[in-house]
Amino acid sequence: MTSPNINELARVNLSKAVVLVIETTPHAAEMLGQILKGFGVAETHRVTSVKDAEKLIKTKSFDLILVDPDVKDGDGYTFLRGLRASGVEPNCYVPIVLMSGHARISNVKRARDTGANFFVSKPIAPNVLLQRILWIARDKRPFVDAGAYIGPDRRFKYEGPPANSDGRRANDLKEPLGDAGEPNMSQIEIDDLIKPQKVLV
Amino acid sequence: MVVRRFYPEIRLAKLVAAPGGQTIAESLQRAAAELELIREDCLRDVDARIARMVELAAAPTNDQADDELHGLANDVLNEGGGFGLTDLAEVAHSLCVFVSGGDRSSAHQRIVTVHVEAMRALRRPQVEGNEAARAAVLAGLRDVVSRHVAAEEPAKASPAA
Repeated sequence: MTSPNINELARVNLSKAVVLVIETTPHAAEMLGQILKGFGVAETHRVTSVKDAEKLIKTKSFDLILVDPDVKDGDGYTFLRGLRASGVEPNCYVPIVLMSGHARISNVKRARDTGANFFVSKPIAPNVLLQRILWIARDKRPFVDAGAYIGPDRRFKYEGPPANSDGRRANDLKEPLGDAGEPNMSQIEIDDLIKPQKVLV
Repeated sequence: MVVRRFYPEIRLAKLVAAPGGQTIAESLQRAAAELELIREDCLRDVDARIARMVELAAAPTNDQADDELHGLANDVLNEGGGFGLTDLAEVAHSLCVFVSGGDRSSAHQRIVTVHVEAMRALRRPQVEGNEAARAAVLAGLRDVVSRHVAAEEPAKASPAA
């Protein structure tokens, strides 16, 4: 079943995508592998340890990483932060979907700081995963390197500085804008402004 | 501290929009079909994890056992839930919440056992295929957990008592 926001007839081409799956168990990795195969992904690498993921990251370029940070042999959160900070292109900028079932409270903040592009709750449903992949592919957020955090901007939209504060950005307006001095333009007037016109010399 | 904002090239964006590929409807149908091929194997793995939880529930509790229970329950949540066993996934999630709460009351072992037995019951064919039986298992579990939570509340409110 798909979401009402998804156009089932839209085409998606993942035939050249190279995906790394880092999962807690071989069966969980296989489930994701099968889903990705159905999506038409030609090359999926599945691992169940940080050690194997680190080896692969050094030798292959990936287009997407799906990771459960509770991977058994180590600390998936530290691995992801290390990957973002490594500066080894293109893998340090690769889109990352972080998947978790029930996360302990102590891990929620760590998850936020990994630099992942999106978080998905397990169990993973194919329609949710495909929607997230498409969303990430169209995501226009900039990458931020703030030293302690490297990854996509965690703010999804900018709504101005908080109420009763001047804001911290150079382009934050310091004064209220006030009322418009003239009536609003009609749609026809706006269209005329942007319509190509012949220039008579 | 200088904050750098930039737009790295993301190859995925170009690949997804390239001509060819398949429709989203086809992608989802094929994904469901591919997943179905490994259903039995994955559900055998779920049963093995539940069996391990039965062993853990029978032994005295400690942090290490709770960590293992949390991991196993998370695996059952993922693998069972991924194949539409939503009741099983709900029980597994409830167990994750319980063991991550650090409960060390005398009822700890009983609550873990009730969860694990509920999972075992939900995997029995006569229960799995019977909606009323599944609902009864879940209702019983919720009742035990809510009574435990209610009993713990006064103790938390007045720790000196």
